[in-house]
Amino acid sequence: MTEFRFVHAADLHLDSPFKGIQAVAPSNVHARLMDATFLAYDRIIDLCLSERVDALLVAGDIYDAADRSLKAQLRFVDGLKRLDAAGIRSFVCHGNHDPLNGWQANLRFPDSCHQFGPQVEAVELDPARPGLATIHGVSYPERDVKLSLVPGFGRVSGDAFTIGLLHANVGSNPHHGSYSPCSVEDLRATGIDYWALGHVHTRQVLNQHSPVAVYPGNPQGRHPVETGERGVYLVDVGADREVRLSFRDVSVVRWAQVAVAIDQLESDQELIDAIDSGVAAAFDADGRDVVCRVTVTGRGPLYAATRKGDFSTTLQARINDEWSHGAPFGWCERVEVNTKPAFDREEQRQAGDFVGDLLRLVDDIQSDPVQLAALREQLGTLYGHPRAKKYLGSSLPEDGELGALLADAEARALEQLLGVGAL
Amino acid sequence: MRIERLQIDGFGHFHARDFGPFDSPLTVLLGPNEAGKSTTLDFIRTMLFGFPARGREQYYPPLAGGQHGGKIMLRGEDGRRYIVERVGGTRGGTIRITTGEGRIFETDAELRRLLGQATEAMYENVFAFGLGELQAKESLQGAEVSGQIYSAGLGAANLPRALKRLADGADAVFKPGGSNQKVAELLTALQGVEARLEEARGDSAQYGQLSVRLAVIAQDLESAGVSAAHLSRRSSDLDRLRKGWAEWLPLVDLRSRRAELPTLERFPQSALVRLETSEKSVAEAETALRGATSEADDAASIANQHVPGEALLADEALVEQIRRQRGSFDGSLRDLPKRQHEAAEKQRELQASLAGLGANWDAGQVTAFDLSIARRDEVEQWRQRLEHAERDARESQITTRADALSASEADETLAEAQQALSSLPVPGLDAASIGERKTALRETRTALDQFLRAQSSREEAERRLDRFVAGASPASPRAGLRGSALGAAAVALVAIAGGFALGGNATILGLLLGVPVLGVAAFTAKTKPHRSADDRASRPDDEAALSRLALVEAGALVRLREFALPLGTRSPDPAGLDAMEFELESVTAALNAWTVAQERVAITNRDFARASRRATDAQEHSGECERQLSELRRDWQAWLTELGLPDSLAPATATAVLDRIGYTQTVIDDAVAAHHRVAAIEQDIHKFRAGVVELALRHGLAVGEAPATAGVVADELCRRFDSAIRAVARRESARATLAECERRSQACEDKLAERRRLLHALLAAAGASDSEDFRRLDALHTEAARFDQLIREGEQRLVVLSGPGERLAAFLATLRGTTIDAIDTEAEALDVELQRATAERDHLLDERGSTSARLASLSSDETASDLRSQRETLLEQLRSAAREWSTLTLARHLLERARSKYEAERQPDVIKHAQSFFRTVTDGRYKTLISPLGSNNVTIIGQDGGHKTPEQLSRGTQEQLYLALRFGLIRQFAQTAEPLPVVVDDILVNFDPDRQYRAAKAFAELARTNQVLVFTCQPATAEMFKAADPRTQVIPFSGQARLLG
Repeated sequence: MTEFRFVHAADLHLDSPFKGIQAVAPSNVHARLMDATFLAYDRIIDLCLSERVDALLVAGDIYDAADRSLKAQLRFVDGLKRLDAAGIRSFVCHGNHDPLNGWQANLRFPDSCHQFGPQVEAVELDPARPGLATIHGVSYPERDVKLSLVPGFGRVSGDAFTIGLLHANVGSNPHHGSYSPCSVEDLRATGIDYWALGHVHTRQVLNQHSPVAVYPGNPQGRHPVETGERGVYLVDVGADREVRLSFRDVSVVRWAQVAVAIDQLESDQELIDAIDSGVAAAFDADGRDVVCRVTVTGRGPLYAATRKGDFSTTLQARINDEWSHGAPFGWCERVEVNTKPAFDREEQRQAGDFVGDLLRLVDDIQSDPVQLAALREQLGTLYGHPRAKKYLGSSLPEDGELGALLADAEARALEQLLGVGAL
Repeated sequence: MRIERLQIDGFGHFHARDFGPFDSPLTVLLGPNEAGKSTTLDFIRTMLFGFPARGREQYYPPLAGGQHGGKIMLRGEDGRRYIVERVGGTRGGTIRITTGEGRIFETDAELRRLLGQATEAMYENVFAFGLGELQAKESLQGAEVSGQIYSAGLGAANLPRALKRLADGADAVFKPGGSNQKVAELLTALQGVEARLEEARGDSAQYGQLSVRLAVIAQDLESAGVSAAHLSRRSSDLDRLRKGWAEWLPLVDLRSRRAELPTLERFPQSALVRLETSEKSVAEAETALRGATSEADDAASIANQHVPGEALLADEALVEQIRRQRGSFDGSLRDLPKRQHEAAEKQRELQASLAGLGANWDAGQVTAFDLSIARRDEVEQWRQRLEHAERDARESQITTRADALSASEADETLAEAQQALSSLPVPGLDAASIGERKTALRETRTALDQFLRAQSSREEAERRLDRFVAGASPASPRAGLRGSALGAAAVALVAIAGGFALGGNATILGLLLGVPVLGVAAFTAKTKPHRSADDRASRPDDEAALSRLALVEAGALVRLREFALPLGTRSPDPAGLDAMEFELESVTAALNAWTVAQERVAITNRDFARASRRATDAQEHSGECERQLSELRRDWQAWLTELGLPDSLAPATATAVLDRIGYTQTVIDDAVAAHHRVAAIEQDIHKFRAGVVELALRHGLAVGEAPATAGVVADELCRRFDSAIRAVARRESARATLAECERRSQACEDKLAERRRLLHALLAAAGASDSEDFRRLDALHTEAARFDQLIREGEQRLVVLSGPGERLAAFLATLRGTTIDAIDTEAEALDVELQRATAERDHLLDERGSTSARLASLSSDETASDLRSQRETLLEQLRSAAREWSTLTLARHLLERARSKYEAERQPDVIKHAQSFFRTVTDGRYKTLISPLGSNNVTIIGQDGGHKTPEQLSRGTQEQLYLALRFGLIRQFAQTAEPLPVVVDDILVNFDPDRQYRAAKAFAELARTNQVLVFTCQPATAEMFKAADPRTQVIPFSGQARLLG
């Protein structure tokens, strides 16, 4: 039997722009994308109200302080006020994107909302029911918290169910910044029953029991790689301290990746059919709007067709003409072509001509870190350029990416050398 | 690899052509211009590398038929044979490769392996080229020359162009220091967006400041509100004092003046109005009383008047009867003479009508006569029956006359036909006899033709025999005798045969004629001399034939006589037969005319018999009709007599008599009716006059004798009656009016008394002696009441200003304790203070409004969100551009490094081989070629040590240089891959003879490793190659190629 229940959310990133889109969206799509994080947050509040939870827990990165978005902070407080009016308490900690020393509008939070400070605090989940549950939490005093904040939680004791509210990189997830790095073991050592974590955008349950450690992920994907369902966890805690997790998708716009390989395709029509089929499947998202990226890969006879100058734009326009005007819409933000020529590279590599020399050279470079480093240095002409460094400095291709880049360069060189039709 | 054979199915103007086998290492294909050498060169290229991707339809279409493409037979270095078959289609065409072992490949992978992975461009530039390709290189200048050559050698003819495109592509994306490139533009846009974002961040910073300011404004507004309220209250107090002052001073004056007036405690309310109303009602009552009295007097005078003729009212019923009949009486008087005249006329018409019916008719008979419809129908039926009978009698008489005439005419026609028949001769033959004779005539004519032909044949045979006899021994006089003997024998045989055929006497006659003649013929035949050897060979044949013809002739004669027998002749001839046929036609015509005349007599005879019968029948029918008509007429006359009508009447006349009787019956009815009407009118006049006379005598009036005087007296009686009626009614009305006036007079008197009592009571209540006194007292009372009202209103206004009770007392006390000047002075000072406070508050309100609006604007501003979205889009575009630039830059880097490596590692061999060839061809005039590493140029060092660039060489020497470089590349290629066949098309034309020979020697040398096919139109060139290598195979190209199959 449920003793109490709460919603665990994190990484709202209200009013933060979508990333990774280079195309200019049509007006209806643009308006929807601009409002998507807010609408997802509204759905979280609606969920709290409809499920009559006792509290909403937000584990940091509510907004990006660097953006100084008034709208984000106002809408956030508006949502908390709705909860307050319904008698639902809220608990908020701040993360690396919205640290305490970051810009904040002079807003008044409702009395039922508790914002954790730079030191770990413990507050009753419900003052009217003392001893039911205690929430321990801490906010980032500044953006770069490179040391773990978990030790600050100490070792909790008592009969009350304990919840830790923390923004941190647990388990050193390589795809996210190393803020407040710690391990599950560190969390377990605190004796806290449920860790309401934030920071990692892909939902995952790090630990099922003692403690339960959960990343709900961000409620609205904001990048082509943030695909699939996005939302929050509805957490029921029983009288026996048993935790039941229920994920709820609150996203408004869903991201999708459509990958089509040309290896087995023979004709342009087959390629179009494959893309249409993939796109139609991606756009079927429970009535949600969908932004997709189509990636054409593989080696095959259709390589020349995919390398035509207007292939990507024509295909993108074709998809968007059909899908982007409806409601819900499906919008293809990019068609990426990563195809390779169908010719037998290994055989060509054995040839005694220039092409053979070229392919062998590429292989030499790929396997030689010194040569790769030299290439990176060569690319520094752009990535290290005084004007561009600010924007591209962090994008200088690493080894793996450089390898892929080199493969693309090889294909491009062969294209120019032999003509697309000959490949 | 070697090319062994070419089989072209359809390629340009070639169709089903076979070239080969090319057995020798060096083969010269010698053919004239336009023999198809270039086409064959392109066929080889196409078979090895495929059809072009575009414009295939225009690429050597199979003009002469066949499937587009063909076969090329190859042999690898390992000795394996390959048949490469390729037909036009997409992706280079459909290829099928069959090995000598029977393996089949459907892709060109095996062929590409066989070609050492050489590209088409490389093969076209290095291995299979014509003068065009060679001279194209000549046009290139400086550094491009060796670049192109080496590129071709590298297997990448597009290398320079590829490097340039990659460089251009990268530069279009990014160029250090550039401002128009994509990256530069994106950076500029990004910086612009960020600047605007910074402004937006400033706006956000304002939000906190504005929020604080809004709170301060709220506090200031609250303080200002308190102060303003205090000032406002004091201002209101002063305002009330000032207004109270204006009320209070007049109130004091009013109270003083009121004290001077008396107070009438019980003076009636609305006294003056009530007085005037009471006085007015008394006057109205007096007027009404006077009117009622006057009206009563008038009514009394009428009520007592006498009415003349009032006694006539007792005879009202009689008067009304006379009045009703009055109009009819005048009408009767006017109508009577006319009706009397009509009655007389009707009587006269009746007499005339009776006279028209005859002397025996009177009115009683006419009236009793039956004129019913049945009677009239009987007359009509009689009429129809008589008409039918008369018509039948008439028509039968006409028919009788016509039939008698027809019988007379038929009799005349029969007489004419009998006369015509008797005038014709009776025919000697009947139709059957004529038919038999015609058949015999036709058969006899046929037999005669056969006999004449047989006779002609026999005579011709005889003449031939005679000519033979005369020709064989022209000097022998007996030849003619022998011919005659034979002819006589033949005639004898014919005669005998004809005799037997005809039989009877003819047989005997045939024997009598034939036997002697036959004996003479036999004697003549025995006396014939011996014939020559040739005669002996042919004569027996002619004689036998003559005998056969004679027998045929005899047979024909026998048949002729047999057929002619019915005609009555034994020797018919054509003229006789024609005469017989003419006679037979005449007999036939006469028989036909006689038969027609006989048939006509029979027909006219039958017509006459029919006409005679019809005439007899018509006469009998006419008699019967006459009898029936007479009988019917007798019945009609009997019927008339029975009705009393004359029996001479025809049905139509009888109908007219009936009509006349009917008319007379109508006239009788009209006359009786006219007499009845006259009697009725006369009775009405008499009855009216008697009534009038009776009433007139009773009321003293006299009536004259003339009928019209009764009318005048009747009118007078009615007038007097009506006048009495009206006078009596007027008198009765006056009497009722008098009673009503008397009642009203009494009521008016009562009302007047009551109103006078009320007036006196009002005066008494006011304490007035009369009306005048009443009005004076009312004026005093009204004035006092007005003052009282003004005082109350003034006090009420003061209460409104101050409030009731103690507040009013305090207010009045304040007024008593101050002056208006003191109040005004304080109010002015307070106004100034209040205006200042109001202005300050308004300012704060404005500021609060603008601040709130600004905060609202900041909280809902989408600009920053939009800018952030734009920044992300630009950043992504920048990253994409950077990746594109990186790809292009790396691609270029790879190509440059590969080229450097190739040049460094392989160029020396190419140059070495090329140098050797160039030296040989130029007979040592140019001994060295140099291509510095990293340079695309070629330097030529001459015998004298001088350096030259390619463009400094003559045209022919340049071509030799390019050929030498190709030789170098071919040699170098062969070091790493299978040597490929070299195919050249008339490339030596610009060489002098000596260098041509040396080049031919070089090709012969090259043929040791690579198969060489040379196309040329110069026999001398072929000879030169033959001289250079005696093993050279020369194949005439045009006429010697074999057709497939």
